[in-house]
Amino acid sequence: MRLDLARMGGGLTGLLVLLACLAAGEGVVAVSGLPIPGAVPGMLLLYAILLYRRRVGEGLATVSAGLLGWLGLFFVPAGVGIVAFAELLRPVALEIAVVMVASTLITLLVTALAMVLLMARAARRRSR
Amino acid sequence: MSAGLTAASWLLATVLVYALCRALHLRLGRPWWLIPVLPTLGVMIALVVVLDVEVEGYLAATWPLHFLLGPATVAIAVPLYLATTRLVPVLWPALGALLVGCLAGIGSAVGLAWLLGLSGETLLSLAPRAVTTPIAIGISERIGGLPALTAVVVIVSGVIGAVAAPPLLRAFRIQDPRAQGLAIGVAAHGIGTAQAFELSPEAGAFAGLAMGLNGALTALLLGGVLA
Repeated sequence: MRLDLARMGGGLTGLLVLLACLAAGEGVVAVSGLPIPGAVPGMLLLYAILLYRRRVGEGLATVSAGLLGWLGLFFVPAGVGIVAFAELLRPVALEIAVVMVASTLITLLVTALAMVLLMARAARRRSR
Repeated sequence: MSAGLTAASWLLATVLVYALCRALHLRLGRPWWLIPVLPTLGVMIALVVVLDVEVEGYLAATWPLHFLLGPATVAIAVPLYLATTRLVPVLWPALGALLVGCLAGIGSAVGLAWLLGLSGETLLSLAPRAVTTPIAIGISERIGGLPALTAVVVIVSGVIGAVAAPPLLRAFRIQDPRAQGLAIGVAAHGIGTAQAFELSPEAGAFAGLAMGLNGALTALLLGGVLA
């Protein structure tokens, strides 16, 4: 008897693919000892699979769009954890705040400007 | 209350508040200063403090939401794949800008912290500031920082980046969604990526790509330098 995943419900196959890639990524991290979360090699694995198959299944498209549309919701527990660190942060709060704001804005601008300049340079080279 | 009822209530409250904030955000025409995660965080923190609840209890109750960060990060491969035809023409500029942005992210955080007199564990905790939370915590542990402080700094930086990115990019007339997404992903990781998807799917895909690669690159650079 052939196992028909599509008949289990399209979204379910999408969830299975995501969890399988996540598990494989966690395996890579466990074996290699790299200081990265398993989701990163998991994402690269799914990316490689999609590049090879050249199509996104309906279930995977549905589940991915749902998860990514709610990405902000998944950060709420980690964010609320700030409460536990209030005492730790108080003495150096101002310095840390300055670093957070300035470093974020600098990184944002430098990266965006580098991308714009490098794209313009590449375009000039092509037109030459 | 039973443990199950408590956990279900906190989960329900978190999703309900997020859903209301999201509906309000859409109703007001998606203003950049009201991304749903911000008011949701404000309300949930206020609830935890006012009700005098153990934060560990709240985190245990809402663990399913936190866990979904894993599959959601894997899911970024889908818009990334769909954007690949758009990525190929700018592959080398994108990789170059990623390297520049990664160095700017580490350098600006460590340099400013040093200038302001921070040192030791505090300074090291700030080094992975731009990286997605789970990677940043791993880096902090390995280089001798305080993982708890790193987690807080990274989350708040992500909110700052997500809130500041649209007006800042507008002010500097950076209109290319690829440059917008790349910059947001490098500077403001997952929270920024959520905001980049609100700008456009292409900006979101580039932000996801930049977030993933910047995480791996920062880990290797910081680990290599301090090894």
